[in-house]
Amino acid sequence: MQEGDIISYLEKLALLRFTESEREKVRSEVTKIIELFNELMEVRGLDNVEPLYHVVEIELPLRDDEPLDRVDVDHELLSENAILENGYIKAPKTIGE
Amino acid sequence: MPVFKLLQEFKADPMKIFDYLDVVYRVIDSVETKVRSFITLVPQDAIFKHVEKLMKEGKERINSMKIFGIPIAVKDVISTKGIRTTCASKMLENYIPPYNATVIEKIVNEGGIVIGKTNMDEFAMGSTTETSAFYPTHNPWDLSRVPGGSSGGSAAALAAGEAPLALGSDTGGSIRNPAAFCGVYGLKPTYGMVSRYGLIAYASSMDQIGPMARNTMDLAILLNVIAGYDPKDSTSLPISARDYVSLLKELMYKEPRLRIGLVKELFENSSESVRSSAYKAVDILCSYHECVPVSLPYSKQLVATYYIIAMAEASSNLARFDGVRYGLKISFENRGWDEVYSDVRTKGFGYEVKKRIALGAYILSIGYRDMYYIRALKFRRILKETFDKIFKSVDAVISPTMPILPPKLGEFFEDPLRMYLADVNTVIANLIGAPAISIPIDFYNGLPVAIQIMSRQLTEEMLLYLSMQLEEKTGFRNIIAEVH
Repeated sequence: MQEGDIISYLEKLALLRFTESEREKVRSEVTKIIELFNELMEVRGLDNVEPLYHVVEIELPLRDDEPLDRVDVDHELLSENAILENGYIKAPKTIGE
Repeated sequence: MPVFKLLQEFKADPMKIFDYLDVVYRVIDSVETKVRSFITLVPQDAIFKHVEKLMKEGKERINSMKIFGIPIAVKDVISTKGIRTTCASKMLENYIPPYNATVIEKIVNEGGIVIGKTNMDEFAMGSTTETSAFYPTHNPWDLSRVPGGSSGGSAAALAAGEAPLALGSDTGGSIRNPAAFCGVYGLKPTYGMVSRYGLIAYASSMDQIGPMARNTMDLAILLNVIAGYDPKDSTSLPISARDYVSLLKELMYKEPRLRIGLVKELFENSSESVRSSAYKAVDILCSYHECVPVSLPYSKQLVATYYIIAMAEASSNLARFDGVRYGLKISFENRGWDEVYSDVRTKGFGYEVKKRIALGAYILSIGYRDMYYIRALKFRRILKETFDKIFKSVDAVISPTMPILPPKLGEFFEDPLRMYLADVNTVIANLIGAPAISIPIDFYNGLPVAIQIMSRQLTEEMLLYLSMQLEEKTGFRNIIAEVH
């Protein structure tokens, strides 16, 4: 684990911030949780095991690229939240930050 | 009154639906300020209008409806068209979905009535319903205690008599844990059996919607409504629907003798109070079925595996709440993406959610992915293979649902790791995709105790059968707490 400030590292990694009052609590909890995760290191014989990403190991079904239910994107799906301009969603700038 | 009896009454005289709704809303009025099961309640007049429309359906159509006129409380993680769906988070405080989850479409088609959205841990992350951004729910059997979680509002609503049926979702025990703590029945179906379309995702490879009720038959009735293949969910199992009510009746008539495995470590790890009650259920079942001990040589590793996978998937799933398409709206004039995105997440998510996202990002980062995430997935396969073997020699395995009695509010806040470790009995079913049921069996000092039975994928009827056998012997059915 990154020593120094683990919490600042996590904040940067996850793009979020903890409040000052949360920082002490999260520091002690994260340490304990990582210790719990390290319990897995004691399991032997995992080297040649295939990871099980998903319990349903069936082929992903394909279908024609036709909408099943047409939701009115502009007026229904996005009107609650997004700022729309000429049919585009307005977002914060991503260049020149 | 159980749902199967209400159905007979409603179909004979649909006007009785109004009388019953009056009773339900009176109960809600009298207990809700103390229990706080709901985040959003649909007003009674809107429900009455809906019922009036429902009654105009033809006689034939009404008779074919599986839950005609039955009120249902729905966990606030399931999308309901036109009804606010918050996930108990500030992030979605004002989100009104423009479409219904598949399970809601099915409920509406079968005549069910969504009366409200129930409280939960924020984004289903918690085992006590205390991480809700709005308020905690209280256990109707003892208001100083938690109802369990994360579907705590749904379980409390049933136990307090605020609804006869409820929907929950279960990623690591979120249906069974609150069912156990509130003295109601809860089933996590086989992964892929109930559509997840419209369920706001926490950990997609383990999330599953399931029924909650006050008796076994009602559980089967609701399972019949929600189960089945859905082309809108790519992990939905392509199998034809089965009638669990008939299957349950048939099994109760034939009473086949099964082989049941007792997971000895999960009994030994439980508190004395839970263990002594759980053994009563074991005695009942083992006087008829053949019981054999089975061994599970893992404990903390199960919890570690579950949380690694859940947090990794959550960190990816919750990235969608960016404040641009969904989520908290903040002004972003002249500010860059990273700054705005970070602000939205900081203000919109509560502490537990932020912690799990941060740890999830860590687990998936360079250097740690193989060490934690891939390792957990490898262990998941070992666990699946272990249970494939166990289920070759026994039909079902039994353990307490929760190793402890419902804790006091605030107790777990001090020690969240203890909260995580209490999930050890329930996470197995999610990791391997198996169905599992929580069955209330007894009270210990006025607090409910439950056992969990788990079986092979797609053998829900067997769980319902064992549940019904226990229910008949214990008489634990349709019990409502007196809230004071």
